[in-house]
Amino acid sequence: MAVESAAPAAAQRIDRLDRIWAGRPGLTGWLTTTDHKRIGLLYLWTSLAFFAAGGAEALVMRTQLAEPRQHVVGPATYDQIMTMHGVTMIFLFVIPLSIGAFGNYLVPLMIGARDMAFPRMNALSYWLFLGSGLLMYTSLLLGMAPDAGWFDYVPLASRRFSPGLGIDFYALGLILNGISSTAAAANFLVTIAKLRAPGMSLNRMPLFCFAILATSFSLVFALPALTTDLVFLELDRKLGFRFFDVAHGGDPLLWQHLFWIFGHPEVYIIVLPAFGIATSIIPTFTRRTMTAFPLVAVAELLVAFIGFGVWVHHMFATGLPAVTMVFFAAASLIIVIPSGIQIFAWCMTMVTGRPEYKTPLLFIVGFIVFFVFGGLSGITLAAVPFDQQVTDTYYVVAHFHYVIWGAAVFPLLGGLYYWFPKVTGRMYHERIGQTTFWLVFAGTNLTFFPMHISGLLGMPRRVWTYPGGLGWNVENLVSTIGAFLLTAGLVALFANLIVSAYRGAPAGADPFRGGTLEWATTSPPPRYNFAVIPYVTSAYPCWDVDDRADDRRRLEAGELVLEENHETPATTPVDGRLDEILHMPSESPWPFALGVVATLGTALVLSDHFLIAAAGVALAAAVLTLWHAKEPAPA
Amino acid sequence: MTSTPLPRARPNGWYGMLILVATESAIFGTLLATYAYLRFRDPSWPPPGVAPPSVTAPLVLALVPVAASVPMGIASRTARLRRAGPLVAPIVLATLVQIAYLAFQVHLFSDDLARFSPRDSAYGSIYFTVLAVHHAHVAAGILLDCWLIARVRTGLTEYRRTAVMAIALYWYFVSLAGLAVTATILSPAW
Amino acid sequence: MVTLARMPRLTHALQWYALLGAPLAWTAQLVLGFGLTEAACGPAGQRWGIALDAWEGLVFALAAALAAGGWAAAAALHRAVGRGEVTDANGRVRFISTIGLATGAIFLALILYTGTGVLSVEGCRR
Repeated sequence: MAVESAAPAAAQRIDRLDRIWAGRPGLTGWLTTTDHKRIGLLYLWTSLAFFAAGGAEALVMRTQLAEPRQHVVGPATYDQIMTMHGVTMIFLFVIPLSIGAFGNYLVPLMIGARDMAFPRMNALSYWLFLGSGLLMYTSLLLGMAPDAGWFDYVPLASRRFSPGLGIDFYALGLILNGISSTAAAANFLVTIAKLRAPGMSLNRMPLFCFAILATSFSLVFALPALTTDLVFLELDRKLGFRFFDVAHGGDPLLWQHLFWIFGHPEVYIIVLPAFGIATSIIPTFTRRTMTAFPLVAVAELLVAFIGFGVWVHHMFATGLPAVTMVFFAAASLIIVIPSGIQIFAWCMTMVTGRPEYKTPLLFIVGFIVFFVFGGLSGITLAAVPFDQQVTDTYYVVAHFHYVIWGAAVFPLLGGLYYWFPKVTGRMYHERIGQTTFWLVFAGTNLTFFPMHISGLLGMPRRVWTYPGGLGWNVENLVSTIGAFLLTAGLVALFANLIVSAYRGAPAGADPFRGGTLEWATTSPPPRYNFAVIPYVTSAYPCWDVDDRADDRRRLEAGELVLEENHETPATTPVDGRLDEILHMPSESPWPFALGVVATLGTALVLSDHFLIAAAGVALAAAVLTLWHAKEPAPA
Repeated sequence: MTSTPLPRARPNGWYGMLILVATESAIFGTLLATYAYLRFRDPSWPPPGVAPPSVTAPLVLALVPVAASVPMGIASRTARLRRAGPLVAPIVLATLVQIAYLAFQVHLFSDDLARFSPRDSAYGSIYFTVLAVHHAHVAAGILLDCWLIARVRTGLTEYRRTAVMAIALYWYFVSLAGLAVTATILSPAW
Repeated sequence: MVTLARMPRLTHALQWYALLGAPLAWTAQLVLGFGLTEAACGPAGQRWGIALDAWEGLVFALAAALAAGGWAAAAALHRAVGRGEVTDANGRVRFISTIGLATGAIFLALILYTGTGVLSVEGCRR
């Protein structure tokens, strides 16, 4: 499978691997799967469904704001839609798509492993994510969605000013979502540290994996601040604690500090996988290795690390001591350097290579344009005096949409095209692909550029409507037209992919002649990813023709084929020396069961059934015991 | 594949626990930073009518999980070196000590609740929250211990070996977190 | 100048210091420095009479020294690898020392930038 036209000995080994790694058929197979590729696909479809919902919400908002004094939706509905748009796009679309879908599908393939380090926990991550998304969307169906904005500031979000269940849906849903993300991040860290193919020392690890490493690091240390904050909020709301109550020694700014200690690393959590995708696509389509490879690797880690020291720039207008703001203004400005290193490295790689502007690379070029633009408006916002002028205006909305939509999602769209042949085994339609790029690119600029101007003219964000005669009418109308153009481009993009999945030309194992290991196996990859575990001698192992030829020989000779059991090799964390052979767990119904129990338990807490929820904890413990009843061991 | 024997890396499960410990440390860090943050803001800490915490009992108690880490460490060493040695007995001993510790802590906790409430002030809110989170970690650890004892009673497999090392790591963390929590909540008494 | 060739253990320790020294120095400066401003400027802390500038200056100096040391370690390692004084079979020491040179410079700049800024702003003024 990894090797076509195999010799008889090799064919026999592949046959045995097929049998050992075969999964259950049908729906049961999907519910019990521990295959990182299947879980990646589940993440993909789910996050795209939430993307459609978040996009529909955006269109409703843009329609409402197209002209002054419209009444497409009422103010209460608008607030709910606006909040759900933010929550959806960040927690239910970009992160699950970039880390859950791309990370899950690609990391084990890129490092030459047969699965993630903790396959069942991987499944649990997905089911918890799905549960959290369904829980939060239940609130919208019930007409009681959270309505205090995605960063949910107290005192507005306190029980006194938001008495309904909306904020509780937000808080508890995000706690569940955070557990899911933490589990996923832990899984990636251990997978990347321990399951790399023999010979893949840190300096030979694909830059995409460095990006996922940096993202996971950020998640592990940033999410606890959000979780703690949300627990404080729920204790205040449900049990009458006083964390945010000034009258009793609490402090509303505590919410903001903790939220942004999470919230700013979060921005890099969103954007870093996109950097990783860019550094995967550029070398393939320019036919050369990334320039300044070690610097790009460390720049990805540095962005994640310095990202923890910039959170107060979201709070420059809250009246903090000037000396406090210095720390964060300095870090907010210096973080430009590692970002700049990457931009220069991407540009230099393209300038010194032979770029072939196929659809994936076009999306990356678009990404660089947006990232530079969003980065420039970001620098203006890191300057305290300017920030205080434009805080809470559409200028900020324009900035973060350039960064989050333009810089984070464009590489994801490019990545969808780039790995489409790998996942489906078929090619997308190149010309339509390029057309969709131009539609989406134009739509993005048309939607978000005018917001800079309306923001500078004083239009505040999160308004339901506005009076005419303030000089924002044209900008708002153009934004709305842009939003529909953008939507048209996206519909065409997904139509291209869906049709191509059935009608596309066969792609073969390596249609783009990529450099990383995912291209060394068939499209789509077999359940065990690689018939023989590759040995790695460089950062672009697929371009090492002799090594890959040696794979064929080793498959016949049976070196590191591991066809006796459900196994994958483990290596040492830094140097990637072969350390041991691991027995990997196979399919299990328990992650799904635990996901259901945890979601229902959260719903019970939400509806104040604390005692039954406590019984749910006991049930969860029982499920965990069953989960561990069968030990992975040689068959 | 390699001719010379090389030092074995720790098992994946141990690394997984290490990351859990890292993220849990961030939770404790956030809680203790919140305590300090609220304290810097409130000139009456603890608020009028609430006595500063008594020092002796919590201080002595905080050392108990540290002491219980010693038998856990012995069991972990036996597992790590894959040799015959004390395994079940030290885990049982550690578990008994931890159960006694938790029982006493819960007793102190309910005493405190009778004196003042988390609903009265931000001081009460963070005080009880920090302690409750710590006690919940001890309780979870005891459940892990019970599961572990049931498992290793019938012998040590590779899987159980990892479990012993990982759960021992968890207890090292919980006992250190306990010291940090105790130092923080006792700070107004100094 | 030490000859790293004869000290594999020192090389091993130095590479981690070269990699992590400067980032940790900045982390310490941020956490301690921000904590100090919170303590000194809060309504309760104002009564404690903390000498903010002196403490911030001390934290600044220590962080800068720690970071400069990390950068120097990276430079020494990088030179030793370049001259072939260190055995580096799969290029790991070169990789880490290159990274250390970049991170050391960035974090040293960040520490100096923050420190001079903090000392030139007037205390707790809002």
